[in-house]
Amino acid sequence: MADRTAAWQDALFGDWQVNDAIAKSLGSDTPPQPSLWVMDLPADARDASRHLAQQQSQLQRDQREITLAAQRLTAFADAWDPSDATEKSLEPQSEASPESRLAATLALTNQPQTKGLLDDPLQTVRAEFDRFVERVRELTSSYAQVETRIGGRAIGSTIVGWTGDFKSAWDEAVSVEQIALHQQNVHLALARRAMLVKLLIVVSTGAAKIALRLATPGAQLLVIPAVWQFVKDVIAQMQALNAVPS
Amino acid sequence: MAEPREDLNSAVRDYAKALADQIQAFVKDMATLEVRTFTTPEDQIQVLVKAKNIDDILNEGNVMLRAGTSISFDGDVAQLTPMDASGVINTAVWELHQQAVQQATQHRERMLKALGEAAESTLRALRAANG
Repeated sequence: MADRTAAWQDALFGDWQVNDAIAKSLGSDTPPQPSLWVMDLPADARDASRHLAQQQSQLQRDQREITLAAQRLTAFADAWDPSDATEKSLEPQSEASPESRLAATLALTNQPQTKGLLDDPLQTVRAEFDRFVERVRELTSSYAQVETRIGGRAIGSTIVGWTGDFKSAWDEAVSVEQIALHQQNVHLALARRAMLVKLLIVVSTGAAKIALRLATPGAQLLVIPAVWQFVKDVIAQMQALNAVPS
Repeated sequence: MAEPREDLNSAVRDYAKALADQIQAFVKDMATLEVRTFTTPEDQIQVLVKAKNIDDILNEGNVMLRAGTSISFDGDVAQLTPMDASGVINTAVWELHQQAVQQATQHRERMLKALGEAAESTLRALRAANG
């Protein structure tokens, strides 16, 4: 289960390698490194375009899933009433729907063993979210470098500062088609980074909105992992629906 | 011991302050959008990955600055245009650079939008915390 979650989070980051991972690969004395996105495309132009198109489709799917999760979280937070939590909210809207799971978790915040819930399984979920936050922070705290290789040879590299400054270096032998491939790669890398920032904003603001209405000591500690779990549940539900053959 | 609601209000305010600091830094750093286009001889790009910071990166290897654009926040634009030995603009490099300028501008818009959304959500949470 933990492995599947780690794989999902890794997939969301796509080809991004954050500073920590790069520093580890280069040795402990290495100074802080930029986040790096390297895409090594097949030498055949059609294969390379196909690969980028697949990456683009995956990005769009991920964006749609996050947007839907954000909409459902907003709807839940607007409708949720903490004083009404123990009875109505616990009635499942559908069997084990993400909303009913979140409502059940929040309902437990009114009970004395609230803090014990952080031991398991929310402790694990909290650790996952902390890891996600740390990776996004690393990804946005410095500049990022996007590199395109074709058949193992680097043809273009673009450094992007966090406010959008661009410095691009091109191999002098680069072709028009290869230029287009690198530009698509830069777009993919930056769009995925923006999507990760959006996901972080969705979870943190959604959790804040819910937590403001809780009054039980320690209950706020539960909200972030509960909301993160909700987002994961919505996305898993969508993926399961999409996997059903029509 | 502080009441939970006070703790939360304080946490939201701390988050709002951190966000405000970040927006302030962003606005300061975004006073000018800089786009630079370089070329390198064949197979030189990979050495750039090992550089230590953004300035060192483009001083390593045989990297040549070919075109540049600075767009200030109030709209002033300064450009460095690539010329051939014959004194004619190198259109291939120039087009390449213009596409990078467009991509950089779009990226900045996206970042601004994301920060704007975060600020809006935080303001709403602050209003709720104070209400």
